[in-house]
Parts: sequence; structure tokens; C-alpha cells
Amino acid sequence: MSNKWYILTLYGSDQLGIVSRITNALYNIGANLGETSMSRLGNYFTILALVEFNKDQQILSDQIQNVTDALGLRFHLDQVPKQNHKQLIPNIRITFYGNDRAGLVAKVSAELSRCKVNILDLQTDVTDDPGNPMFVMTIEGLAMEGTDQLEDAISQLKSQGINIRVETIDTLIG
Amino acid sequence: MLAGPGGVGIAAPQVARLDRIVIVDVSGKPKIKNHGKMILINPEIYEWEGLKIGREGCLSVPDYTGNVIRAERIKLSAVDEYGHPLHFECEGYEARAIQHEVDHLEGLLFLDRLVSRRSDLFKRKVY
Repeated sequence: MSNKWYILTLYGSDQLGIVSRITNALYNIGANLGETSMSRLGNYFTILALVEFNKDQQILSDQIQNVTDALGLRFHLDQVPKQNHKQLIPNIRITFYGNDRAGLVAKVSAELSRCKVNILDLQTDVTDDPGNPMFVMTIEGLAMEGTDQLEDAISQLKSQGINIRVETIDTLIG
Repeated sequence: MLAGPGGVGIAAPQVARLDRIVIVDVSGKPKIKNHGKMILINPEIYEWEGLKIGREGCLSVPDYTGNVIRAERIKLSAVDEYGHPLHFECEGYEARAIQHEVDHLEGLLFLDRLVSRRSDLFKRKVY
């Protein structure tokens, strides 16, 4: 029987026991986790996981449903083709912080895309101060056509009042 | 060290030799301040200054890289193959490489020093 892979998307109100119950449920039916991202998002908790399971998809789905029903969570399961995944290593880090306003991620990501930067990871936070919320964004990306074009991107954004900081990531193998 | 792509250092324990020897050579990287090939026996970092986050991988941990904070400038002493004392002041990439390799002598991998961007950049404190 060949290995079947799925992407599991799951979210709900953050509470104690989500990771434990989901991962144990998967373990108990013989499913295997690949890469996963499990983190708190606002007051919610989200799981994105690559799951390997060789028996019928319905068994997997029912097992997850038992947990999500009990905890008031929602999930979605899609089978995906098995692939040897390729690890992409970022070569630039972009950071931004400033007063929150509309369009920050949209404008920065548009510029990066134009400069052929593949965004590998992006995280944003808005600080808790209601009077003066500050927006913080960190991006790790792979500049596929080198980092020289980014000078242009930086000045484009600066002219729109968005000051990003760009630094190259030079991975050291030791 | 040179067998793996992009390797700039190696420590004896990585090749199953339980000796306090490391080799670092970042001279292949352009525009980086360096001391060429350094063979360091009994290396000891005795001064650290500055902290910088950077990305590291390891020949002993294939296919994985992560963010690690290291000192920006270090001073270290060691001896050479003939037992003569050596002293270096290193910074930046070379300093990172040395810290990475010296860690191996203590049984530490960069995995033991991973930092999370989120939790280390934005700690929320209640005053």
C-alpha cells in the first residue's frame, strides 16, 4: 500500500489540549506527521500539517472529527501528491515596524513579488495598545534574482512612507 | 569540511575524534574579514561582545537550518599544531563560525541555540 499524504487545516478557539488531542488521535490510528505549523493566531489556534496515512481517508477524517467536535474546532483535509520536499533557504530578512495602517502587507509583498523575492515566511503582529497600535512585520524570503534589485524596492516603498529594513541572510554551514 | 557544500568549519567530534580541535576557514566568502584557514587546538573564547541573529546549518545536521544568536566580536586563544600559543580577534561571519565549532567541543549543536524570531523579538511584558 503506497503512502498517502494529506494537508490538514484546523482552527478554533485556543484552549488547553488541542495539540495533544489531535496528535494523539493521529498517532492512535497509525498516521504520521510531516512538516507542521501549529501556532496561536489572535485568540485562536491554528494547525497546518502534512499528514501521512495509508488506510481509508474516511478513517482519518472521522478520527479528526471526534476531536474537533469535542473541542469546537473546524478542519479541512485534502489529499496531496507525495513529493520529496525541497528545503528552500531564505537569503533575505525584511523587517518593518510602524503605525498600523491599511495596505502595509499588500504594498510590501507586491514590491517583493515584483523583485522576484519568494516569501518563505511572513509574520505580523499588532501590539496591544489601543490608542496607538504598532504593526510589526518580519519576512524571510528567497531573492531568486539576487538582492541588488531590492534597493529599488526599498526606495519605492519609502516614497509611499513605508520604511522597510532589508538584510541579507548568509547561512553558515559549520 | 570541504566535502559538504558551503562548509566553513569542522570540529573533531564531528568526525568521531574526541579531541579539542577545530578548523575554520571563511576565506572563500567574499568581502568578509577573516584570518584564512585557522587550525585551533584547545580553543578558548575569553571575550564576547555584541549579539547578532544569523542563520546556521551544520554538516552533522543535514537539510536543516535555523536562526541562532551569536556574539558579533570575540577574542580567543588557542595553540597551533606545534603547541605555540595563538590569539585572534574575530568578528562577524568568522566569529560566528568559530563559536559554532567551539560549541561542538562541548557537545552542542546549533539546534541547542535556536531562537524564534517572534518570541525573541517581541516579548510582551506586563509591568
